[in-house]
Amino acid sequence: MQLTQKNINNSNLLLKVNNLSVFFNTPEGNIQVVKDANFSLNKGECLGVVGESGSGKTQTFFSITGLLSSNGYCKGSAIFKGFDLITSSEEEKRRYLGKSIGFIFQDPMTSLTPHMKIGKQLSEIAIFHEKLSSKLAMERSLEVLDIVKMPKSRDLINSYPHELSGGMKQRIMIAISLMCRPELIIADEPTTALDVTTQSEILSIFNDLKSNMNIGIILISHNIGVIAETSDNVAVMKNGLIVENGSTFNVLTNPKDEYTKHLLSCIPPWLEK
Amino acid sequence: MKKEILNVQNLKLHYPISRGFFVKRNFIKAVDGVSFSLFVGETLGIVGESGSGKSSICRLILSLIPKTSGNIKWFGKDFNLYKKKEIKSFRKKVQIIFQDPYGSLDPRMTIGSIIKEPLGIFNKNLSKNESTERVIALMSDVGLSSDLYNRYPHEISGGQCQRVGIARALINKPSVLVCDEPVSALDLSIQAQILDLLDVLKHKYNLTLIFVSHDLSVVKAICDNVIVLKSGKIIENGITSDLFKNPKDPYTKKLISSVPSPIPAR
Ligand SMILES: Nc1ncnc2c1ncn2[C@@H]1O[C@H](COP(=O)(O)OP(=O)(O)OP(=O)(O)O)[C@@H](O)[C@H]1O
Ligand SMILES: Nc1ncnc2c1ncn2[C@@H]1O[C@H](COP(=O)(O)OP(=O)(O)OP(=O)(O)O)[C@@H](O)[C@H]1O
Ligand SMILES: [Mg+2]
Ligand SMILES: [Mg+2]
Repeated sequence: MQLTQKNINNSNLLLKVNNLSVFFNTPEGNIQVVKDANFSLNKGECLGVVGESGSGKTQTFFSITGLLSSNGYCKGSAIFKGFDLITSSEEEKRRYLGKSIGFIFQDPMTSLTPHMKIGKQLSEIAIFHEKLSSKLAMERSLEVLDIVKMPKSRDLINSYPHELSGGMKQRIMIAISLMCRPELIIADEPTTALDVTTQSEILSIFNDLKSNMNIGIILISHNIGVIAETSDNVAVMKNGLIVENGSTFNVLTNPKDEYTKHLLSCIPPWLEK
Repeated sequence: MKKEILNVQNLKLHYPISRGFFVKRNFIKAVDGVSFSLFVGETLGIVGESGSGKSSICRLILSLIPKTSGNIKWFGKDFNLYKKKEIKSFRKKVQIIFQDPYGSLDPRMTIGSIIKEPLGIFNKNLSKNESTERVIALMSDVGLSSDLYNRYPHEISGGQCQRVGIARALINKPSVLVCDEPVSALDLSIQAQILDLLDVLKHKYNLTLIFVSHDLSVVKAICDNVIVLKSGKIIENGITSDLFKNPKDPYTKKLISSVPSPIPAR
């Protein structure tokens, strides 16, 4: 309750989601996979979303960004800078998505075109949204490849997606989301394919984006360590419900919900140095 | 003496980079002279930074991509000398779980038929009901509800896709399983369930595992031996507990110290 109060007269508020529900029509009948979700995000902050596999993390953010499959629909509101993403027209949505809101997909191939060179994929985004010349767009592409610590970026722009390792594809996705200087980044399991050293580099990039560029970040991850390192607040999901939501420190050190307690108890003991 | 199942000698995979006409031919050395052995019942971990060649090694040893050079001996016999029939039984015995859960599943097939498909190829005399039962039992073993049986890959979550890949690889009770980041998209409680399942299979059927993972806590929990890769080369290998206690190579040290702590800083 207190959180909601604070957000009403908060000029830093970037995204506010109210009573969001997501449904699918399936051969087995209608199912609800997100149930009345409420949360908010300020500029320059990171909200971590954790929870069981299949608990509704991805679909929550697919519904906000209009990415649900054709058998899905949603109810509720998602106010982004005073503008309801759920009820807005396709055209209005397009203005925000991909430009103000960057989405890093859990499945890298969703946003990579198989037969297009990496350099072209990146620069086309800047040509489309920012109307840059192709030369400037390519320069910008090299810049973001540096930001995500891709080695040998000059060779890389001539590679095709299938020539890259899992972790490289994941970093290209992060680069794509940065192309247009977004205000909100939704990152769905962005570091699952990364080794710990690359992972910690990416996490420090997220922390930079937050504090230096005031970008709001939603970070979906099943890795509590990743959440602990980046998130100011955390929402815990189970079976479509947000079962716990609060400051990362409070939730992780003093969990109230049984499921959160269970999740924390699964951490291998040697990690808790 | 433990029985050797796989022997890899000086394995190389070089990709030419030929960009433009006048550029000198260069190579990406994805795998660059790797040698190791795998023994029956062993779980061998492969760790290393992104792009170090882990997935390439998995594909090479299964002969899913052609090698540049080197020797691969499976069950005591050079794989180059395998006859067509031997390769077929090899494909049943040795299974792989791919790193990319979505990309490795046929988008036009339902979850049930994806898991069932290998059964049909190798067990022609199994009845339809028996196969379906086996699929559903295995789905429950990997924590998938049977409600998902008739769904398509794009209609299930990332972690559910990954478990479909695991179930498909296990349906024919393989004797060797190559797992390329098999639990990376799974939350800890389901990870634990899958790792327990692999452990049961290890003890019940003496399953031999190659386990690629960037998650060192998982590697530490289940691997007997570990290989650390960097730029296509093995830079360190040994018994898991020794390697974690006393890493020699600076890169291994860095790897071990980069694990994010789940205890938040205030
Ligand atoms: N198109 C669809 N039709 C029917 N059910 C769907 C569809 N897409 C997703 N689902 C179901 O919705 C539920 C929530 O899926 P979601 O992708 O949000 O899970 P998640 O929390 O992101 O899980 P993971 O961590 O495994 O990625 C899952 O049970 C999934 O099977
Ligand atoms: N078809 C290809 N053509 C050219 N280069 C390739 C091809 N496939 C892989 N590579 C390169 O080989 C190297 C090793 O890739 P590999 O996929 O084996 O890495 P990995 O260790 O599995 O990394 P990750 O942890 O990111 O999955 C990378 O530099 C990659 O770009
Ligand atoms: Mg998901
Ligand atoms: Mg890989």
